[in-house]
Amino acid sequence: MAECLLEVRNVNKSFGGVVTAENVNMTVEGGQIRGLIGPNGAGKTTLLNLISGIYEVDSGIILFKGKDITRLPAHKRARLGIGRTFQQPRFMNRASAKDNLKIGTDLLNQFGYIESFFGKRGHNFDQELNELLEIAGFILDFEDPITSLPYGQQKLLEIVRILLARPAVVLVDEPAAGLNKQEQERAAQLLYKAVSSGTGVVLIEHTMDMVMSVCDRITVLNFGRVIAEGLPREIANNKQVIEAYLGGGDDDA
Amino acid sequence: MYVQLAITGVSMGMLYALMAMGLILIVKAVGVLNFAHGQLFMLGAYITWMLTYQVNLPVWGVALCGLVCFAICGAVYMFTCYWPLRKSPWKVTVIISTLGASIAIKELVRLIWGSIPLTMEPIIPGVIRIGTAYLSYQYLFIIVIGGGLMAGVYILFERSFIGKIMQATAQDRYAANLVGIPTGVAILCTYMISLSLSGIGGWLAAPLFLVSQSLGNLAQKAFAGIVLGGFGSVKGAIVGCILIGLIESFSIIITDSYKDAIVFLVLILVLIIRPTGIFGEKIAEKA
Amino acid sequence: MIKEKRKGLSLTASVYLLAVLACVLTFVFFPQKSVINKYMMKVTNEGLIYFIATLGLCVMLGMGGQVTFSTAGMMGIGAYSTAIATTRFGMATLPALLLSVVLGGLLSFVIGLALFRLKGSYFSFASIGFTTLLFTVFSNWMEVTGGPDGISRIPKLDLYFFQCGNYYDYFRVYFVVAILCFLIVLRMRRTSFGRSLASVRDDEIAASCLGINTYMTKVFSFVIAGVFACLAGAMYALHSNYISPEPFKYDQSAIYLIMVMLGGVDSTFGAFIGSMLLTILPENMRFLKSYYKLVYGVGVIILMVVMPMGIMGFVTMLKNKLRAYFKKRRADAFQDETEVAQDGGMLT
Repeated sequence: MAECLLEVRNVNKSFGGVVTAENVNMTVEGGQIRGLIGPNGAGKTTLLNLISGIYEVDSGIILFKGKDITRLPAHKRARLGIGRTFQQPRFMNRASAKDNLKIGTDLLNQFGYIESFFGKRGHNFDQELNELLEIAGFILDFEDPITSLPYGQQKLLEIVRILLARPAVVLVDEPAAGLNKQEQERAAQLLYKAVSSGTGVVLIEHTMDMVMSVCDRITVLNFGRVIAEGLPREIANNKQVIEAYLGGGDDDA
Repeated sequence: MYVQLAITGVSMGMLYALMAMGLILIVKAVGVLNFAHGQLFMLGAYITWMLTYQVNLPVWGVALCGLVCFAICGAVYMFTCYWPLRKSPWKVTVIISTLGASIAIKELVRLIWGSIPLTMEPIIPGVIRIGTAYLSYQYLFIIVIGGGLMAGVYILFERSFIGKIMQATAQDRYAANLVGIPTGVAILCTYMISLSLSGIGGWLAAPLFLVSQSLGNLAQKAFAGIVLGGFGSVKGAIVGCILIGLIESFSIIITDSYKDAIVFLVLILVLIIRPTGIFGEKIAEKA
Repeated sequence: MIKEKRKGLSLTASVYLLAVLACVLTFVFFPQKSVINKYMMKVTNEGLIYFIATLGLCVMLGMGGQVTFSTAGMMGIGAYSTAIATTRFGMATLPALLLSVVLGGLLSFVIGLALFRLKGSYFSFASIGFTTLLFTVFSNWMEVTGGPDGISRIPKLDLYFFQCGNYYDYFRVYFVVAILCFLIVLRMRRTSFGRSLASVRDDEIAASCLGINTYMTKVFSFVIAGVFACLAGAMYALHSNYISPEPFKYDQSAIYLIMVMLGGVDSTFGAFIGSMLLTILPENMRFLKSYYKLVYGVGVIILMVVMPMGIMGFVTMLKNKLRAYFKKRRADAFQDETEVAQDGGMLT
């Protein structure tokens, strides 16, 4: 059931004189991975920021499950079920891995602070975490400070963290950057797991192998405009796309 | 009477603005607040008092030596409070360090010059008569000098090479380093100029208030002016401070002892209505 | 896979147990004139009062990363409302204390809503303004606060089943209160509030994207800090039966901040160390005479350079280093991964 979870309609955004998004349209279906590619500076991360609510659109609307969320603040969008990861892992640097991951479950439970103080029990954190960590493929010592973990594990943990919240839509920003082949495969597995439970994924990536194999549909941005949209093999053969990458096909990660 | 209040207000505002400018320079250059700024202002008053009465220099001598002293203080201050902490990931440590400095400076002044307030003659003695009110020349003098200093700083920043270096360092230290700009020197200059502005402010304020350790409290009004005028904008801070000076001045009509409270009450109200201040803009962060 | 957790009493449970034990022992046996003289008891009580105030600050600064100068002002609110309620309105001490805490909470909420529209250091500036505003009111509103003369003849704390007659009685009560507050803050760290606040501290944008309402979280932390400070102020008023505006200047807030930093900004127990040290140490430093404050100020700067994470932070760093060291030895010695997992964590 490919329900349209997220729809971006005619969204425009500029900073000063620089146009970062111009009449952008994009949809994300449940259970589907939507790739978002384009040369550097095309406005991909900006689009994610517009969807998560960090930036406000200049014009256009964003619909989530049919509801207009254009004016909602970021934290409300997250609570409705829009999750994301960042290019550089953003954790609480002075906390343990456990506390950092629990934030994911906090988002799922959405208790008030008072309830949480008195120890209201929510979803079973351990079991789901174990499942996800098996897919991510490493053993985690809970009490380790998050900064002691290698970069690759941190990036994978970022995905784990947001998946613990069981979001309806996940915006993933360059999950493969800085990861070796094995870790990239793990990241892809995590995304597949998300998709299997009906989550819609927006994936920004430069690693073309990953993009072509993982995505169901792809949107290509250049200079803030959508220049192509469709199935991976359509995109791979699209003249405009190839030109935009200046003869690219395989980009460097 | 209103004219007198207005001029007093603008004059006080100028003093606050001098402090505020110094403060914002440091904020922009190194990204943290200097909570010892009020004490540095007070230090300026004491140093110039010393130069006038203990070293017995004439006015231009005091000005010259004062500037040299302020520059030295600026350097010392930077090396103690900022330099060892510049790589620290926590901004809090620098802030607390400036708190420690403010306590230390206050005590140092007290140990050297004692706790009894000292008096200082105005630079231009005498009063001018406006309508039915008398106004000390010092107030007008402050407006003129204050304005002159601000113009001077503006020229320094916009037109001179050093100013450009300082701006570059303030905007993006990493990039400035990459391009080969001596950021250390730039920061040093920033501190020296900042301290000089406050120091001169202290010198100007000394004849109006007694030279005592409580001069440092004036900095709170400077803080209020910065917040009122808007985030990080020097223009805004100047306007904000002058407004604060005027508010403080005119609140005497209603009450004398509560004027501090009124100033901060106005500040809080403005915050509720317009949190970015008068000139502030929303700062969008890159994600 | 997560490593197996250690069996036996967890750290939290042991702390709770220890705390209860300490309370019982204190109340029954200690203190007496033979162990500690009256003056030092008074000073210790004041240390406990400051500890409670810094606990609130610990939540805001340590967990929330916000530098606030509001502590002294809120203490003033607590002290003055208790004093006024008991002396002017003849209220009993316990209801007066509770009333001031409620008042403090409400005031913090309203002010917090206004102040947190500012970011970072601008917020700190504004908090200075707020405290100065309160101080001006305390010093000038003669009819209500007695102005610079303050309020005197505040009655002693009466807990119905226990009356505080002397400083030793006060210690018994205040120690229990301090332990309770300590446990509350410890508990807070492990709740979603604690985590949310820490996220806001480290990365506001990421926090919003994770569903945290950064504005209200910060306001909430301000309310908590205000409530603790207010409680401390009320306790202060009941303890020294006279109050004046002097201790409620914003300079004093700077001292509380330093107490938190000294103890260790990340540690709740650090607040205890910081506040006790900075209250009791000055008594022993009299030999410095007039140089005391200068040494203090310079000491703070040196502390920030040498040990910015404070005493407890330093201890934690040593602990982590030891952990990492032993872990490496274990990993080298044992090849089998499962065995390592079964061992669980070693040093806590």
